[in-house]
Amino acid sequence: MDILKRIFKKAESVEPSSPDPMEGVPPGLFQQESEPRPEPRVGLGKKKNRSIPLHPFVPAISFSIGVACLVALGALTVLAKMEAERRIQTSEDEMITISYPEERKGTQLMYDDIAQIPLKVRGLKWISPVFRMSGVMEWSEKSHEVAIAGVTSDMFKINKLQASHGRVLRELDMNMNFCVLGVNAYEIIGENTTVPKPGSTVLINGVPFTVLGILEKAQGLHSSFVDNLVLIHLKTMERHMDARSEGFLQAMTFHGVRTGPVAYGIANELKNQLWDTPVSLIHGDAMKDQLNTQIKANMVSLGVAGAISLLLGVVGMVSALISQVNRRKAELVVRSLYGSNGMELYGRYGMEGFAWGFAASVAGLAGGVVITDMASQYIGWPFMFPYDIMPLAAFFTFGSIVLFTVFPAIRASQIDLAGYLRSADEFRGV
Amino acid sequence: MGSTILLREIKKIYKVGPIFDDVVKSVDFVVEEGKKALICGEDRTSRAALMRILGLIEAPTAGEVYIDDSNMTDLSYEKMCAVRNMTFGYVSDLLPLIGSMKVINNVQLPLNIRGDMTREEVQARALESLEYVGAKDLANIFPARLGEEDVRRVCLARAIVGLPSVLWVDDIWLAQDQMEQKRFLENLFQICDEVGVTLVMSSEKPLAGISFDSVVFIRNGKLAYH
Repeated sequence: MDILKRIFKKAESVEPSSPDPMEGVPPGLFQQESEPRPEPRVGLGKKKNRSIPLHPFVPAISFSIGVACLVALGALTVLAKMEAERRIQTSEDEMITISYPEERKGTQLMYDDIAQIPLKVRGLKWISPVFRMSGVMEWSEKSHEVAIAGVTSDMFKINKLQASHGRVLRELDMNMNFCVLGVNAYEIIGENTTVPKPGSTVLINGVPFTVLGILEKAQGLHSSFVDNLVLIHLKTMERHMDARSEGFLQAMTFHGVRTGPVAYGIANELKNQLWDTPVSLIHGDAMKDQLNTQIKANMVSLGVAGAISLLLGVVGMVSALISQVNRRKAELVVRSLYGSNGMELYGRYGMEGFAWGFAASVAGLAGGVVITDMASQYIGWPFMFPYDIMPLAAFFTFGSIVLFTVFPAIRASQIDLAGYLRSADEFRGV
Repeated sequence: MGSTILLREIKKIYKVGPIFDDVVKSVDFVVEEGKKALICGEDRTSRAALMRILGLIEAPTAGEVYIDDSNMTDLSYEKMCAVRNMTFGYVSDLLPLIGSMKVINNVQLPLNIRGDMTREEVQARALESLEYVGAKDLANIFPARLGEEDVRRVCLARAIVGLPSVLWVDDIWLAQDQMEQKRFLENLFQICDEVGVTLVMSSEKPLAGISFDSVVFIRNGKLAYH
């Protein structure tokens, strides 16, 4: 106590107060001052809190959905590549052929539209549609029911078809009335009579066509159907045959050095769009746009949904955690008052945010596997989740967690103890 | 054991925009070890500012604060936190119980922050503290179910659980009847006497029928009556 008296000479020892606490108090001590001191406006005591309380559970779900969609997107991209590679390896000469369709009338497929497809697909060299119709061929005063196919010159290259007599169709032949006979068609037409030799003229649906050649018997599984056909150029068919109203697209074959998942996706999409779903009209630019839109629609929508959900989730989590910090200011003050320093508060609120984010991330990663599984089943691919992408997904996910954990934790650790009490006291005084 | 608190020429000025507001003007004040002091005054801003300075919650603009001969004015942030934890027990209606934690966990809070005891020791001490204020049966319920008086008792238990040397009690009876005030203060005084803790309390007016060792009045930022 000596030091106290030395330092603080004015301080007097405390005297016990009288039983009546007001006794001895100078008169007027509790009266209002004549000119009251202006009420200081300190802190936020008189401000209304208009923030909407947001529980972290809601944005955590959004974050999970975002993570799941993006994981699925990554996984499906890898799966598509794997699937394409698998098919390329198992198919001959890196060829993708769409399976034979059901007969379908009303398909409108223009030659110019077909010609757009290779321009859209990187690495795709040729595309070969086979547009089929039935017709009547007249030869040597006899008529026969035949199957007529409108093809492009690529079709012969892809199926490695060669002529036993004469030659096959070339692209320059599109403006001429030329035809090539499959070996079976040739034999049927020539049954019991002389066969049409190259250079002879036949009538197909009443239109005169010059026979360019006779095909060798096809060897490949995919090309054997041409043996029964009378082949004319697709452009010629468009010009003369009015095939669109009566024929159907029988097959479409893509051939490329590096076909890849995009070509496969286009093939699948065309199959769906042209054969399984009625399409009334597809023309040049419209088809180009439609390809862009439809083929990538699933992937893009998955990516967009994932990105938006993830963004909403991250922003929402930051808002929710900050909202939590604001709502729990009294708790922060109590903790701070009883000795929690900034680092402890930072750690505590950081851990809370991390816990929410971790739970959401795990749910999202698991959800991504489930979505990939469902999408694989829908598309018809064998499900084989590429777990190689998980470390990358986890890295970005936990990066996002850090993003939405740090800021609220900093806010919590920077609580102004005195400011809060001061403003609360001002507010209480109103 | 209580602590001696000495305020020496304390000044506190708030700057709000262009206005400088002198809420505490050169106050000298001492509360000796184990004594009970009451700070009164209708000037809420000055009274609260003085209490915050006294409780090491806010630094003065000028002057020095001594606790047991140690100058607290220039302590670092971390040391100040530690001193608050070890030295003070705070009771104020601005410091509510944490609603997401049970009463027992609320009471354990200062000890958990201190972190030098095992979980069992902390729990035992918290129960002991609750028993001391007559609220042991409330240990396992959430604060939302407590009445006003129970909340005050639990807050008191939280304040004394760390065996502080100073009890800092802010205006806690704004909407309380006199009988309830008196009952609470009698309990509080009994605790202070038994533990030997120094009590610093603030109130708008002197409390009828309650005897403090020291009553000071603050007016216009100065001690008007000591």
